Amino acid sequence: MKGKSITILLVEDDPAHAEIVRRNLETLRIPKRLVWVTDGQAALDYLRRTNDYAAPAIAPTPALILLDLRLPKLDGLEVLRNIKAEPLLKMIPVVVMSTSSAAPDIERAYEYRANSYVTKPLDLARFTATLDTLGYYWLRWNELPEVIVA
Amino acid sequence: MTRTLHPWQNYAVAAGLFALALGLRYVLLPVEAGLAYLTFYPGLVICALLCSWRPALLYIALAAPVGTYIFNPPYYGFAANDVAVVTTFAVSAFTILAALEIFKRRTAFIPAPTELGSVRDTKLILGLCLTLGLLVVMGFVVIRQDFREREDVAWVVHTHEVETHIKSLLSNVIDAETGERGYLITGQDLFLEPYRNADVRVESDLQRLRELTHDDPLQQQRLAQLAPLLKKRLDRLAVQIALRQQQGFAAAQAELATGVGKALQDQIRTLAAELQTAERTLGEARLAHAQSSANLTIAVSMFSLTGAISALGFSVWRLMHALRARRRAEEEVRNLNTMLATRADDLELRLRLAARASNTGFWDWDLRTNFVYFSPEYKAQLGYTEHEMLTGFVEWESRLHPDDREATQQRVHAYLAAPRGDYEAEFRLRHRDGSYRWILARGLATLGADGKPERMLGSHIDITTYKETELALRESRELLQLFIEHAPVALAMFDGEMRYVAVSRQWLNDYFLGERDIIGHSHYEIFPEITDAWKDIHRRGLAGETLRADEDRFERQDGTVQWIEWEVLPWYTGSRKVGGIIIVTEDITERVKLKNNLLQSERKFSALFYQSPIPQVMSNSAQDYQTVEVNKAMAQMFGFSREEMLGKSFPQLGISRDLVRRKQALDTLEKKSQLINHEYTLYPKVGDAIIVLAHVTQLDIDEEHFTFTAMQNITQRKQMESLLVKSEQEFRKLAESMPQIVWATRADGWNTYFNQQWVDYTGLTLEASYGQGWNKPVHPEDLQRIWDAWTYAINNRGNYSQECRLRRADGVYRWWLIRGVPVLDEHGNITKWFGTCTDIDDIKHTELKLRESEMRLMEAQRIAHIGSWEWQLGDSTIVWSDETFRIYGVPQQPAGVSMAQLIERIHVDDRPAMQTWIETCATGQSVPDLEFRAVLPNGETRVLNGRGELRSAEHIGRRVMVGTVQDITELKQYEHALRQKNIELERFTYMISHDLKSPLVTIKTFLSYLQQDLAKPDAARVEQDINFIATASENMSRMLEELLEFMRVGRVKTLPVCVTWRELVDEALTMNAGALTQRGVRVDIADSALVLCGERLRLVQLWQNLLGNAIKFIGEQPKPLVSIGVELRGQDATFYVCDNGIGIDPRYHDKIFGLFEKLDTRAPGSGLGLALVKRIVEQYGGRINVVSAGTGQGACFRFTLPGAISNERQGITT
Repeated sequence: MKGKSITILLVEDDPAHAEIVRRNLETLRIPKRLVWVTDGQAALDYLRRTNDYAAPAIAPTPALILLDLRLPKLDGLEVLRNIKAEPLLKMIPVVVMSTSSAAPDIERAYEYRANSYVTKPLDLARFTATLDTLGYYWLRWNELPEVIVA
Repeated sequence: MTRTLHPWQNYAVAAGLFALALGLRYVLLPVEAGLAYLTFYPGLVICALLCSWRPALLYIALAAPVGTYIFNPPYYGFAANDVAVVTTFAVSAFTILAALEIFKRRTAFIPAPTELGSVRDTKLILGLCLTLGLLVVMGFVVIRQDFREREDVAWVVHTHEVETHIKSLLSNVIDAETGERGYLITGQDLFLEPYRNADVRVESDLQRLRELTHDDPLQQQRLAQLAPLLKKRLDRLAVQIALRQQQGFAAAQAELATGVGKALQDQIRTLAAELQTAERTLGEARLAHAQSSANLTIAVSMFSLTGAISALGFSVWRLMHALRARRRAEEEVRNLNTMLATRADDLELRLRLAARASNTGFWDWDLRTNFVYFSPEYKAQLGYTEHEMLTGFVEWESRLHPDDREATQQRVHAYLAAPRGDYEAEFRLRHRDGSYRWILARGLATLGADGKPERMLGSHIDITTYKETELALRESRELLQLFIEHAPVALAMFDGEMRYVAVSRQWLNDYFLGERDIIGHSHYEIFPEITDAWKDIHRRGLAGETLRADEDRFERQDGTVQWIEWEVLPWYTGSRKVGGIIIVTEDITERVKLKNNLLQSERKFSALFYQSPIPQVMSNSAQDYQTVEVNKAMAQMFGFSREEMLGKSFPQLGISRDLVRRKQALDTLEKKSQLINHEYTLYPKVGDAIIVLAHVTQLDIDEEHFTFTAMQNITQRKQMESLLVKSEQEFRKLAESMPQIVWATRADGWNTYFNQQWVDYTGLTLEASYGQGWNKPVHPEDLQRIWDAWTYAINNRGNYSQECRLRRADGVYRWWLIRGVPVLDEHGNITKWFGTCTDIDDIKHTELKLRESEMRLMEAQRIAHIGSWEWQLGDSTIVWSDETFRIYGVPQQPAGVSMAQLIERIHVDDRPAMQTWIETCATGQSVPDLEFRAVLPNGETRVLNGRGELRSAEHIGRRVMVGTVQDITELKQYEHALRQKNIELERFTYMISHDLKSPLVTIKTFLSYLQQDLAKPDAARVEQDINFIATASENMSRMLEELLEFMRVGRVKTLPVCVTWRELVDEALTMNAGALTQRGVRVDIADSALVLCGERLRLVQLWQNLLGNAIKFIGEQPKPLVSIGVELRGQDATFYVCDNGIGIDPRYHDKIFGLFEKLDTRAPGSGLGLALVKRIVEQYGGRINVVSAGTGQGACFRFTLPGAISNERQGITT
């Protein structure tokens, strides 16, 4: 806890779902800034600072990526594969969010080295709790970055 | 020059010149008489040069006497030296004449004979020069003498004058004294008269004397002495006179008496005398000098003249000599000229004769006047005499043959228009008798100054005969051609270059030339295979040799060999030169073959005869059957050599000893002309008698009678026969005891023996079975087969083995194996057959069952598409079942398939795997199934599954790999299709789980938020929550609707409706009319009459969605445009809907057709449109793709609908 605000990149095409994520993140006490992009290509552009996000000022490196699987243009899994293939991006924790709790979806996400797979729970409480847990993970990671990188 | 003047002109010139010279002489004579006669010389030279020598001689004849006479005026009279002058002139004139003549001749006579040249000529010139020189010397001397003579005369006159004047002086002095004396005496003045003028006269004389002797100083001196004396004297006289007058006589007398006067007088007298004497001496001396000079002149003249005459004589002699030589030369030249002239005449004559003989006429055509001269021969050609007919070109034209007229006229005009080379034409002219003659006209034009022809000269030859000959020749040549062409032999005629001139049909046939036109072609071009040896033969033929060969091998280019008999003959042209060759060939290939065959057969025959194991002999019937030919076997049989037997009869050799029997046999032979199977006993040279079986035949060869005998030594057979009977009995015993049926037949199949088993089984009697009775119990179905096999075996002496059913005595058929073996005699002939019949009925049944089960297996394999194979490890071949062959698409091979054949059928990529599999099999290890691809001979690729298992086959002691092969291509295809369906299904599930769940998640979450927010209460949040829930449920509802629609595609079956494409497009346009108007989009439709058949709704949906899609993504395009159309390519129609909107990034070209896929989340719609389009397209068996260069480049959707094209209606059903 350094008092510095962190950036969370939300990749979500459904505005309703984005609102849900936003509301949930409100409850977290960590200073944060939520950046919301609606498609996979935009997410990669942001991370690579290309096209619309060429300036570092408007695209601070996120501390966490919340990635929906079902995305226009570039699919969530494809975005994940790209992130994990790039040396500079692969260390950013990616939490895959999906409405599907089907085993093949989950397996594939981990196969693409997602840091976590979160089903968009129908249950609000469970979803918030998940995000809380997520916040906890993130704090630990922030304090001991070397350990995680190693 | 001389030639131009007539003789009289010559003489006139000579006379004129002479007159001229004479006139000149008159003019010059007073001036200098001595040189005047030279005037004759120029005249002479001119005359000699201008005229011939005759006028020159005339000139000399005139000039010599007349000139001399005139030269000497009459008062001179003829003097002695005149003769000399005339002579001198004449001689010199002749000399000049001669010199000039020679000069002239030399220059004029060009072909100068050598006699006139160089050395001798110089001598002649020298002689003439000497003559002239001497004449000049003489002339000079004579002239000089002439001058001197005249001088001498002058001196004589001079002396006389001096004397006269001296006398006159003295007399004047004396006269003066005389007169004075008289006066003195008388005193009368009268007497003084002579004295008074004396001083003047004396002075005059004295003066004259001084003048005359001015060149003589002595005389002048004397005169100078005389003058004072004379003065004194005269002065004395004057003194005396004066004394008388004044003093009278006395004084005078006194004076006189002094004698002074007298002394003076004496002195004067003395001096005068001295003068006179001196003068006279001088005159005499001069006279003497003149005399001696004259003498010298005469002497010199005489000498010169003599010399000149001699030199002239020499020159004349030389000249005569030269002239003689020239005359000879001239004679020769004249002879030559005569000869030449004669020859020219001769030539002309010959030409005329030749012209007449060759019937050549000449014509000379003056083109200006059109007059044509025709020579007599010309006229004669047309039947006219020399003085008849014909002048002019028109006449000629009128005589032309109508057929030739135009062409000939054209030819003449063409030649005259451009006269190059010779004119030549052939045409017919009308003869006097009305017939036409063929004329060959040749000519040459001569050109005028203007370069145009003005005259044409030419010849005219009557070539009618030639033409007729030519015609005849052509006919004869055609005849020859015809003759050659149809000659029954292969004949070809060649020219010197070996080109075909004529060829017979037979030639064309023999050399397979067909209808080729080879005339004019080179033989070597037609037959490139002709060898150098042949070319050499041709060359020799062309050199005049006649060559032939009876049998020659000729190998054709295509490798076939022809045998030919040929003859090469040169043929001669009219000039007896070899014009070429004629080759006559005969294809004797067949004959040679026959001959060779004959020779071969003869050789074969004699070899057969001599080497034959059958003893044979040929004997002469006429000479007591003496041996003519005998073979080895015969000689050996009797222990003789062949030579020993030749020329001797059998009795002579001791072979035939029973002469009576021989006689009988020979008589029979005479009658029947042959003896068959004549058996008799003969005796060899050494050893026991032998029994022979003989065949004797009479032969007539070339009218001679021979007998041919073939023998067989049957001595042993005779011995064997008895043994055979015994062994036969033993055989029968054996056969009867055998469990099988035993049988025997004759060589021709006639059954002669059955054992008891046959009788027992068939129930037939032996009698009924012999012959062909054995076939009675044979099953009717088998009878034909075994009978054929039996016939075949008999004819081919092979073993016989057949299975057939035989009826048992009780009517039951059982299977039997019938086997037969031929029994051959020593010559390899079948004598009989032995055979057995074995009951194989039980075996047969087992076998049938086996075959049946095999059939079933085969059928099973065929139905199951599973083939089987069997491989004895280490074998090079694999045994395949019928189905295996079918699977591999290879025709069946009973011997099995080689490993290479198998590998060949395997897909290249799968070969290594297959080889490894086979190798693993070979080691005897068990192997897993192998899936591999096989490429069938028809190119089809099939997927096969191979399976193998190791068995040990005890009966062959080897291990065997047995396996199956299964065609799993269809299986694989289904598998693939299934996998595709699964993927699709998975994707659908995924979509359902994500996209359909998504709004549910939203609703559920916001419902819980709503709960919280209502509790707070937060009105703004509540409204937001409700909005989210509403939107989500709307989305949900639309998605479900669309999904339902999507699922319905292809599932609802309605009858296909046929609509024009335009109608569909128009409907789609109507549905999108609002959006189109709103966005101001222009739509271009490329009209087409294409008709589509299918579910109308779906078809409309295609364009409706694509159009909607295009409008939706038209962007900020200022001139929005959508193009709709069809591209027809044969049966294929490609539809397109293109826009110039925002375009699609090529990365997403596949994704856009996905269910609920949207590239832009903000864009309206659920993302089902293109998925629906794709599904409809696929329902109609089509494909859809999008072409877009990228964002902002517009997009073009192109798709096909093969199932909807009107002529393929059946395609629309699902």
